[in-house]
Amino acid sequence: MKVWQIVIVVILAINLFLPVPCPCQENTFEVDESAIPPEAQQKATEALQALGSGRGALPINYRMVRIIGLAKAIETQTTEIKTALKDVGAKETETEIHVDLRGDVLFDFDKCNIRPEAMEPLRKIGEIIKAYNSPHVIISGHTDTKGAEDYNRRLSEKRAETVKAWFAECAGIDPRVMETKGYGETKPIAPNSNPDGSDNPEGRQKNRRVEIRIRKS
Amino acid sequence: MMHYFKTGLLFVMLSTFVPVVSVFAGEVIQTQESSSWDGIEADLTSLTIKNNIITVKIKFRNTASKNQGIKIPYDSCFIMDATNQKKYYPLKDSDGLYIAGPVSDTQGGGRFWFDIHAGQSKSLWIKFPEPTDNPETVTISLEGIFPFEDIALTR
Repeated sequence: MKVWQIVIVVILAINLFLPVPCPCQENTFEVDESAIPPEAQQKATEALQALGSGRGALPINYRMVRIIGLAKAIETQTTEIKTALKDVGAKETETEIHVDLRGDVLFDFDKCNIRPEAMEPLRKIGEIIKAYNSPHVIISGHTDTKGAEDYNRRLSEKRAETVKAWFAECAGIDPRVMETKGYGETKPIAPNSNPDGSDNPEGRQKNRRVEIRIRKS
Repeated sequence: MMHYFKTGLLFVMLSTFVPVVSVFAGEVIQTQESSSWDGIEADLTSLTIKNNIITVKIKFRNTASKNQGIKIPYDSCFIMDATNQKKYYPLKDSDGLYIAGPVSDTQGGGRFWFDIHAGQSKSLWIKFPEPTDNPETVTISLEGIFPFEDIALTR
């Protein structure tokens, strides 16, 4: 066997052991989805200049500063806040305040635009968040089991996002302290159907909700 | 004649290496799991510094068997200089949008909100200010992902 024949045999043998791109998987190869537009660096340079010498630095403990302020917030908790807590049916523990808002109050059926009737309870919750200077607010959307599971998850995510946007735009709450989650129909608080298999509209109504957890620390 | 045949054959076979090798060419600086989405892993694939601007690229891989909706508001991302106790949020353009991408929508200054199918991946990039105190390492924090810690800043 000549040398060139040996080389070919060796190369073919190596090829057998190397992974071959599978046409059924789009991302087997590195697709540069993170391609950065050429103007991004220029925009970033301008943004950096606008920030000045501090470059927008924040102290790491700036959330902790808020927590320290919490004690004062509790001590000086006004009557209005106590009333607001009662009005929205808030449950308070040592670490957080938990509010459940009925989905039917917040949104029309299958929609994610906030209803006018929901503005007042949301405004009160916004006041509570601000009074406690909460460092972390978790807004989670939930649905009943009507409809496809994936659709319900999406709907619950959008609803939670809508509530976050409302708090940011209408109540002046820093969006960076708010986190949203969409659980769809996966975390019911009541049965969606009766033991005999029939529909349970009351249970489903309870499950259509937005939960807001206002962390105190 | 045989010489040309041999040369051509070798060229064809060697050329088959090129795309295969490129699979392994993507460097991963650090990988972290998700704290929110089962089966999602995040690879920090690139960190560059130019003109006091840090650009990071992160690739999300869905190792689970089902579709995952990944939502990361860019306003929740930051880099942290633990040595000097400072944190820096992504840079914003004159329209108030974070200089990052891809952007699914502009709510809150822009968000990464995409479905990643099982076995698939999707990447994002973000531009941050370089910390002022020249730290040797930083932590990169994204919502829903455990932080990338002790990431070296090579200037």
